[in-house]
Amino acid sequence: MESWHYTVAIVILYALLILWVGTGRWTKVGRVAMDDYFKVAPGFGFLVLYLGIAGGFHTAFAIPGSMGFYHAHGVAFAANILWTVFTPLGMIYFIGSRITCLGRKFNYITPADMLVDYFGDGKFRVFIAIYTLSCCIPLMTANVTGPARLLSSGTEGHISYIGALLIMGFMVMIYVTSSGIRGVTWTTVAQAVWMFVAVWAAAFWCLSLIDGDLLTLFNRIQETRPELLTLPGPQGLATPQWWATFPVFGIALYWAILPRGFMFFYSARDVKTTKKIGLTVGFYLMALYLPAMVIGFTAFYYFPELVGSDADNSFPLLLATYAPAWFAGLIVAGGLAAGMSSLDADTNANSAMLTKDVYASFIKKDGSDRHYITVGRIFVVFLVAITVLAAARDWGLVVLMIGVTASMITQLLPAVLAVTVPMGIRFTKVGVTSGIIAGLTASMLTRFYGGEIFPSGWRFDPSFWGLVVNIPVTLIVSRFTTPPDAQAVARIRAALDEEFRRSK
Amino acid sequence: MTDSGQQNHLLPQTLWQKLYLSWFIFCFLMVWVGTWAVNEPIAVMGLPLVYAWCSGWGIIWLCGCLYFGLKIEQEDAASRGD
Repeated sequence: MESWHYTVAIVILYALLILWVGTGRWTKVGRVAMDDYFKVAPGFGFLVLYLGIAGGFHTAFAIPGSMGFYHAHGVAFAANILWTVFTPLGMIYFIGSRITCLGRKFNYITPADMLVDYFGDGKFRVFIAIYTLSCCIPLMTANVTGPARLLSSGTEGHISYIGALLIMGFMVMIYVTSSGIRGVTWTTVAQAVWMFVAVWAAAFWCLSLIDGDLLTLFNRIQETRPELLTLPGPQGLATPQWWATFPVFGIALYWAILPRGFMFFYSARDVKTTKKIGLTVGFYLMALYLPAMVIGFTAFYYFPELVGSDADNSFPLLLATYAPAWFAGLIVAGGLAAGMSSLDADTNANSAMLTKDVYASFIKKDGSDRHYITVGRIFVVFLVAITVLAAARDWGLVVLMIGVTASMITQLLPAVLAVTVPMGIRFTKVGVTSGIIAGLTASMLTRFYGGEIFPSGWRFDPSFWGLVVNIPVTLIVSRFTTPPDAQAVARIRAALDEEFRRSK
Repeated sequence: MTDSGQQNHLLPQTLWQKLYLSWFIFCFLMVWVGTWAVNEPIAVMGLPLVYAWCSGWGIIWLCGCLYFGLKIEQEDAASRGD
């Protein structure tokens, strides 16, 4: 047997395991209902949802993207510690638990369900759904691109990049159409464990490769490229302005309010479960990124000549060149796990939005749940096909769109806060819509023309500039426009008071 | 612009909630701002100082908020009579 055969054998083993986990009897329910397909009506308990969220929140950026980042920008990657802790303790604990509270109380299925319940239905629903959906397609595409490259490199090109994309897409299609959110969550549990083992195993293998310990690696980097050990990094990325805004506004604030986050929060058994996950999932999220430094620096030591987007290939190249085939297979499968665990969650969430917010609201309003689930499955196939097609084309455009995605989702934050955190401030449908549009415009202008508009000391993350414009526009327009239905506001507020402010 | 009749959920109510928020902000600032004070190519147990500083404070941040969060849970359970 040739060495790449072992890699393929391990990837096949991983694929069979995931298909078994994602379609087994534990993913089936007797009840045919939208609220038990796109989300889990009875709710998941702590452990399953913990690993589901842990795996679902790590994308292909975990493997191999983070290693490429260390290779290119060094310890600037430590900025990610801000989001791996801020998102759980701030967003999941505080906002996610409130989304769980309202989702369980009023049986929401999509993010738009919650927003329109507060602000009022109609075109606002389709605006939110289409807006959110257009953000998420690039994110889905990014999640298959890195792992597909990893699989192709790991098999020495015997599985082509396109072939790798098709394998991942086909697998996700099978278990999401078969089992909906249950398939997504159970496979993500397995993927979360696999990728965690893979990334730590890779770090120890890297230390054995350099034949030394952490200090040996540090000294070798200090001798070859000391700029990797401090901010702003060799390419000057991590300026104070970048550090001050990217981890919080570019990642932490939006990561938890992605549609996949809503589906997980809606699928929690109770508020206490989401709160406990918020308090503890940061340990997993952070621990997954800690070994990335060892891997990224080792890859730099062996392949210092790689620059630009080639830096992302440094870890796959290290594996292909130096790792035993069986070990490379383990890591490649870990990369597939990182990408697929987010792709499936996004596919399910986006399929729910297309079905509930667009199809069931505007095309066929009186369908049965069985009909809507069938339509949802068709949307899953459609979304996976679009993702694979997009990933097969222009990668540069995808990278650009991921940044745009962050800015777009972040602009939803005032609307989400308005519903989930009563604070005595008036928010209206027209107000938040105006804020979203103004914020998005500002963030796009700064993203594409920021270098010309601002002096170097003012080049903050575009998502930050978006919120700087969004919030005042939202508040000012809300001051002069029709408020939401008082009964709906009172009902939602009472639910939140009951859960979060009772007998204090 | 405001409706004075409602509770503001942004403001912490109990001592443990205030401690949670204070700890969150303190540790956040240690990573966010403090990192620039230790931006030197020095090894700490073989790790770059910036990395060790951020990871260390990240763990302290998580442990502290976990402790205060569990206290909030206990307090909440007591107020519900669980």
